[in-house]
Amino acid sequence: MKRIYSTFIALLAVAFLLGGCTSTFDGLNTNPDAPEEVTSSMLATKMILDMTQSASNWRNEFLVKRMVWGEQMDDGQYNRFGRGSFDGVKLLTNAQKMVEYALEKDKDAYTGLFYFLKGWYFYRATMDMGDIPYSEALDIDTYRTPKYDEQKEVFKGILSDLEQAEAYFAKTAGQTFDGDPFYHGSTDSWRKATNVLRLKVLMALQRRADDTPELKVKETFARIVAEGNLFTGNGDNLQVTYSDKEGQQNPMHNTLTRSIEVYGASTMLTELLKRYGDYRLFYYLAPAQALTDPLYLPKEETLLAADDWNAYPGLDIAAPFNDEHEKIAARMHSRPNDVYRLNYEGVPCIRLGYADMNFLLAEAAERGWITGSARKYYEQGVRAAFAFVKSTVPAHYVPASRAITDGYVEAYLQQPETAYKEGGTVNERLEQIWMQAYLGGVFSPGAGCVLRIPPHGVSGFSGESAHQPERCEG
Amino acid sequence: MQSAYSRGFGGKYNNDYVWGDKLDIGRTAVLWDPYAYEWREQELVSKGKDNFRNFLQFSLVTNNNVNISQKGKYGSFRASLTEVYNKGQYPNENLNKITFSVGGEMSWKNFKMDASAAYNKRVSSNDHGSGYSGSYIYDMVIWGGTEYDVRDYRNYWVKDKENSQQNWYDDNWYDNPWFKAYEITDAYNTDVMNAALNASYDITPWLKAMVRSGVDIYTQRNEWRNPISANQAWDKKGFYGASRKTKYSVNTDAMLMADKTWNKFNLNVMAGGNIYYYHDDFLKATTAGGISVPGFYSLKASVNPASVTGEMHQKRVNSLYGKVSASWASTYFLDVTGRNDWSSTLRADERSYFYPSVSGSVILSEIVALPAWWDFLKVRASWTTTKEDADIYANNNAYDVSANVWDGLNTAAYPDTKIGNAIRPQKSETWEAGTSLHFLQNRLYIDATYYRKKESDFIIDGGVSSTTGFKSIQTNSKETRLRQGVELMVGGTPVKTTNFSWDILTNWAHDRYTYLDIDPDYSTKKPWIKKGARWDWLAIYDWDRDPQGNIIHNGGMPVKQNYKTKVGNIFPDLVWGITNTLKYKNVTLSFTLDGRVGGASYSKTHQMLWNTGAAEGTDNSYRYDEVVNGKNTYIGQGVKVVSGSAERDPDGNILSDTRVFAPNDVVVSYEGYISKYHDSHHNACRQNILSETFFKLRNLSLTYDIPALWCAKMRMKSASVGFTGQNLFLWAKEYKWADPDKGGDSDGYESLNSPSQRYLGFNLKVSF
Repeated sequence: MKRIYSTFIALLAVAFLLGGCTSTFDGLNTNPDAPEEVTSSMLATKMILDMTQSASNWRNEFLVKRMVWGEQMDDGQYNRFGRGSFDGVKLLTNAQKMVEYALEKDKDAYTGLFYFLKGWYFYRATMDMGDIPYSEALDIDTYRTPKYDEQKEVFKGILSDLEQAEAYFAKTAGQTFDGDPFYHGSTDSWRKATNVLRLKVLMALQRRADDTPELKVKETFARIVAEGNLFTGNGDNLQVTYSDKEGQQNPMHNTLTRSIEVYGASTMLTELLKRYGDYRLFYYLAPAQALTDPLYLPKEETLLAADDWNAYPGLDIAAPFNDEHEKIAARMHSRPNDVYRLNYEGVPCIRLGYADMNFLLAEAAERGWITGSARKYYEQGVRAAFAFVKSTVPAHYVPASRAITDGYVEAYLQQPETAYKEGGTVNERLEQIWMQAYLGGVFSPGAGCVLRIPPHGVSGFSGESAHQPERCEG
Repeated sequence: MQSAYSRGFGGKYNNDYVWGDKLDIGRTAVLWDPYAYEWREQELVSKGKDNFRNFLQFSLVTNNNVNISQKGKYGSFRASLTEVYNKGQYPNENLNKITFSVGGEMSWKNFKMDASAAYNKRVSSNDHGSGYSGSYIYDMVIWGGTEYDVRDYRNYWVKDKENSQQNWYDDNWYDNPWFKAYEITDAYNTDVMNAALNASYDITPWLKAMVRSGVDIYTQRNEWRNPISANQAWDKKGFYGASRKTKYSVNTDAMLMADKTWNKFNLNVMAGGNIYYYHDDFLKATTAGGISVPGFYSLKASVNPASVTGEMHQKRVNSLYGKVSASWASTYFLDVTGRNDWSSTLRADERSYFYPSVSGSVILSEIVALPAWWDFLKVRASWTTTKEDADIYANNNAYDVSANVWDGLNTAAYPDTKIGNAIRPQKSETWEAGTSLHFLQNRLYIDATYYRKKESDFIIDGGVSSTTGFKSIQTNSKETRLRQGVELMVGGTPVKTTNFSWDILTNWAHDRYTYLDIDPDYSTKKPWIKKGARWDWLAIYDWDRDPQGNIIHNGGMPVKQNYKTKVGNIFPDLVWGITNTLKYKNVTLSFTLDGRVGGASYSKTHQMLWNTGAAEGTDNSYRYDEVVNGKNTYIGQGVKVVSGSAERDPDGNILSDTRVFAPNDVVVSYEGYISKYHDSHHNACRQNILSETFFKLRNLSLTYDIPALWCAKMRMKSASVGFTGQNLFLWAKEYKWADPDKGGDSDGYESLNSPSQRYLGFNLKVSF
């Protein structure tokens, strides 16, 4: 019996040991490869990358009708907007944490970045979805189901956030913060970018400029321009520069976007470029394979040179998809230039650009919001757009006879179609500004494409989409 | 697969889809010449009608096993060696397995011990080639045309460009299948070892103490690579990757058991404890930016610094448990158990959880007088609860960090699931009742069971609006789900004579899966999700239809609805099996038929065959007119809206409808229509939701037992020779191009299942 009792007690002891021995459990369940705290720099990198890289979403080109997708009917191409999401706003939790972890010396810089990002993502969300939650957003402990605010209140919030961002960047003039891949943390550059974004947002509110005085659209726009902290050249652009490293490659490369070979330029783009005698045709596009490659030349066609305007046919976005599909099958479409399809470095994608800023200023001057010369801004914008293309596309991708030179750009600005129509109507001049913004934003749809075509349509283009009254943002 | 039209689209040969030009009528296109390694104009001929069949190879499985054992006064010992070789149906697909196991037991007075250990090694040359993207079926059956003969491409390197350029007609989407088989490889080498030890000591005749422990160790080394110029692999500039994964788990129990009988009453009590520990870790290194020398597959070939990552998981669960079993007169039985676990994967305040069970049975045939032909009647019932802890690290509120994302900068992302709530373990509670009947000296037996399982406390990421800054909150769901069903087993021996017997065994199972409670915050909000409705629903965006169900067309093209509707259920209504065994003297024939009735899934294979233009059904007059005569003649079957419109609520219910319909009469391109009617693979279309009803002749075996006389002559104790076959026949109600047996995944999507293989083989068993 003694043996039974001693065995029993021994086993009972083991049992209690087992039950009580949980002190190391929390240690066991902590993942050593995932930290509970990080640095502001890492969060800043993530947010800045996400915000700038969204400019290169290739579907945007179909939405603004510059390119046609040859694989299938793309929803954006036919203005079929399904569902949107608030995923951009969701990312702002990272920005909140970024400010929390900031050290004393960087707190203001990161706070400025926080307000910039907040303004940016809410701006995108409200342009996409209209009325959205704003005042109760980003506070899950208090508001698990945030209420929707009227778009007017949301815009008030966005403008106030961006104004705060500007103030914080102004306060930290000359400083830099860590984790910024594009401006390398320069708060001066961010201050300029913030102001350009504010101009964009205000211009998007143009239809409310007169009937909603509480938004102070015109006054704020004029004040920002007067203060003068804006981009001064293409070097100030907020853009993504690609390189041949894993994860940093040009997303239009044919190993990353496999269907890029069936992207074809639309007549909206090709006819406009041809009408203006615009050499950017040769920088943006590659000629039709069927017209320039003897292997694929159909019997009834003659071989053309790469610098021939007729070697760049466009696709009709209003025609039945299958008719245009057949043209692509016959290789009679103008694909993106080889530099986009075959080069890992490609061309930088602009998120906020100097050229587009000038077009915003030109439009504001035309509308009487600011006092500067609309013509001066228009010409500055055109020169900047050409300069960007010339400096980012290596010379061997373009036929030598079509290279952009300073002389060519000045001649371009004297031509009847593209010279600023000071003798014409306001609408005519606005149309010129929009068309140049449209042409300047090819493959950088975030650079502020315009798809607003005035009610009388664009001369030379027919079809139902001529009357689209939308201004789109990439 | 049709062999009348080439690869391409818009009726021309090109590098994507199979909507190309007409073959065998003298048309030409610029095609790749695999012998001259250049593009040139050639005639379009259907020389590749049997490409997939020509590519598959004869496959076989060999399985050899030797067992020896010895028994003595104080114990016994056994050893076994097994070797399996599998040559797969795709080239360069081999698997080798070796298993060696030993075991023994010994006893001395009140002490008994037994132990066993097994070691298993598995080596595979190439595990690649199945699933949706980049599989052989994807390349050759769905996206490949018949204007090339795959046998012309066995020489898969371009001359003088070995290891740097594959000999293939596409340089964008697909790879030469021989190149894929021999050069894009994913090989593994696995070692598995397990060992167990059991020791018991009889303290008194009625009290026994026992200790047992088992360990399981698994190590796998993987190596995967692709040469320069591979289109659908890891890096077109060349790639090599290696990883090592180790897993081990240990289980140790200590228990005390008492067993005492007084007259007809027997009591058995057991109490014990268990410690379970699990650990796994993983290290992976891959080249980045390509390989420096063609054909040099090593981490040292990496152009940019090799990228490295690692992970580790561990877990421990301590348990205490007890059981009391009582029986009376071998007629009434009752078991009661209880167990408490402490798990490391739950937070300290919810770490300990208890789950009991009760079960009992009565052998009624001992108490009640039954007719002579009724041998046995037993009824049983039980109630059990089980609880399941959370995944390892699930409650960690930690950042997701990536190194060197952009020019050396690292990024971090805060989790978008809000973690921090107290999480209880998931629970399930099952009621079961059953009965077992035997008749006519066991010539007929029936076993029937009814069960009802309630599952609750699911650990979920409950969705919230992204404007809160999070996508979800980690919590226990208030949703509860029910699984209930009936299982019936009927078997017997219809014929039994001296030399001949015929046994039948049948199984039937019918289960239903319904919601019992809905979580008002987090359960998916759709009209078909409510108490009492099935939770194995399958929902997609259906076609817009008129009140009679005809598809509405716009501009000649079918219109998809903007909201989802439920189109079926994933799980079957009935699963059944029948096995027949016929024995005549020394010959035994056994065959099994099984199948299922009901259940639906979305077949990507079916949809993509049509979408790409490869389906046989697309070879018709509409296609001919369009490609050869340049004339569109196709009109979609359905209606069009002549006037009016419909207003719907967010779930799609009609609020007002003023639409007037007329038969659709708009002529469109056949290619355009079919590639929209059978949309791209992630947009499931209603007509490709197929019923999974099928049955198979799953097993057939014919065995001859060599007569004892001959065995004795050869000094053998016994021997048998047999022939077996598996998957010999399949009939499916709606599935034509994929095997419904593997069916859909948990979302109901079938993703290019490899065709099931038919096995035919023979075996020989000898014992000495």
